[in-house]
Amino acid sequence: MTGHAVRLEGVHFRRPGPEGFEVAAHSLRVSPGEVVALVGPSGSGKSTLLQLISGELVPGDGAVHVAGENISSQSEADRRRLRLQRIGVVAQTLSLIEYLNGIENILLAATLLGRARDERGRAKELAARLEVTHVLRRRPARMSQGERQRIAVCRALLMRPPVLLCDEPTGNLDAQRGSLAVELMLAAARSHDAAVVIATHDDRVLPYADRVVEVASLSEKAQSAEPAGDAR
Amino acid sequence: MKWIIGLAIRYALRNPVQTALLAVSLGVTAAIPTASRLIIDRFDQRMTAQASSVPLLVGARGSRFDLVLASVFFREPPERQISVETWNSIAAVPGLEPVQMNAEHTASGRRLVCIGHGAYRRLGLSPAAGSLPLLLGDVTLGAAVARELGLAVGDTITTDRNELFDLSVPPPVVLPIVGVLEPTGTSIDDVVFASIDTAWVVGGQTHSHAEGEDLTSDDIIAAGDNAIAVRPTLQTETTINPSNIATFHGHDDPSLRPLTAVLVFADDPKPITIAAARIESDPALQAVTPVMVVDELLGVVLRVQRVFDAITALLAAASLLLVMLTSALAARLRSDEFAVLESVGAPRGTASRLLFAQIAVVAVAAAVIAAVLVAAALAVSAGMNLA
Repeated sequence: MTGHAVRLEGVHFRRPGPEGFEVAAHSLRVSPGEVVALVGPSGSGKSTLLQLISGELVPGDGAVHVAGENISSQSEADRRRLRLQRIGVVAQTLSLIEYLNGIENILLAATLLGRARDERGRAKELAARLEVTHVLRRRPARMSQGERQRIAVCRALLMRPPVLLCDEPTGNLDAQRGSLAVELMLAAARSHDAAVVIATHDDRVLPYADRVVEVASLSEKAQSAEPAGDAR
Repeated sequence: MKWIIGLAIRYALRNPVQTALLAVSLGVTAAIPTASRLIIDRFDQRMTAQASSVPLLVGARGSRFDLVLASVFFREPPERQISVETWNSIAAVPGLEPVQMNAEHTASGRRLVCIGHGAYRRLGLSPAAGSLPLLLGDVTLGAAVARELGLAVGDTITTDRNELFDLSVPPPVVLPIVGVLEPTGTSIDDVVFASIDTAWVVGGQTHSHAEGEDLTSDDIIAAGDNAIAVRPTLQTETTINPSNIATFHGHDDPSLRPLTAVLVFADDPKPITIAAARIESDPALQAVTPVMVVDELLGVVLRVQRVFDAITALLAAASLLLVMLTSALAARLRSDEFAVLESVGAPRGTASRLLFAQIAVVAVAAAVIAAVLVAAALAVSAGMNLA
């Protein structure tokens, strides 16, 4: 039970409202350094699962453990603190803050923690590793989509989070750029043994994953005991 | 929460047009009423101080406002005049120090205030250069007159002749400048001071004859056995100098020479009250306390100010609504940014705090703009004659 960077046990989440969208995950465990791809059709709950892991959403039943903490029983403030310090998130949309330049966007979490000055070297190192040093002084409006995506990855990895969550990281990139972005991102994440969970319906991403998990299969009891899906 | 301010400042700097428009509109909205209030307060203080320097003012019956504005603030002279006879009757009251004033003439377009010597001490006037006008014809310039006309001690200034086609009006008189007053920031700076006798030379009540032997045959219009008639410009001296100063004289009754007002000073208020009561009983005269008249005038200004304040309050409310509307629109436009902060793990309420910080940054910028505008308005008004 211990040693998993991410562990979901008997999780059930239902969005409020008449639509009643539901997601269940009887068991999902991700070890440090492991790359897991969550796959499934649009609307299957991939992004919702990532939000449950990041603590943005709280399940109605079950427990979500991230980096050794049961975040489903934590207060909202504690979950935000955990997300800030120990979870990196690369969102589906290319979300950078438009009035900040490249390096300021990378340093966002450190800025919120009052450690921007200390982490500046690390930010430059990540930018070099993801090959975006040349856009550190540019604002997002003057970056390509690939550059924006890699800046977002730098931001997610800045605090060396033990968990990196990526929602459709190649969604807005062509094949070549998408592959490059994933390769660079995973190389950077592996450098500090981060567990990576990627929600995607892009088949090009799957070869990079250690394990591929069908979201639909997570709701089946039979999947609960051991890691689900195709191991690669 | 330093980072909130940091982000707000970066947002402001990288959206300069939006920030500048809001800051300027708020700054101007704040600056206009503040500056006008401060300038009016200064105007009020200066007018009141200047009016307080004259305890009682006596003039021909008519508008009390005209009398005070003409005699204390040196605006247009009142339509009706009094005479030296009035001064004589006031001077007869023990304990009073009445001072004659005639401010009906101008020199180089500036009011020529001819006044008894006692007024300078009472009004606290002292020269920055030269001396006060003690001799007939001498003038001392207000600071603004000297600056604007480029005149100094040793120069001359010429009285104005307003009736060009009336031959009975005496010709302009050239007056030597013997001093320039310290600047006061009041209407004193804009006038030319001379002795009271000078007014009567300029007005033609007194004169000095040119020497007959200096005349040429062209100057003589007609000649009789005992007298000659000469051209009007040669009938009287047009300059006053040490060689002719003692020859100026009049053929009239000195007690009937014109005054525009009598300023009444006293060390004790009691004789002032007695004199005011006596004068008020004379149907041709009025006695006014300048500070009371000025209070009445300023009351009108303050009523206008209150209307202005109400309009400003409406403008401020409109500006506030503008800021709220802009902030609401900005919040909608910045929803992606707030979503990023949420996903990163920013504390709860970060969006509203960012918007509040944004408004605070604009408010600080607006306050700086307002302070600069108010300081500039005060600096400009300091150089203006407000009283």
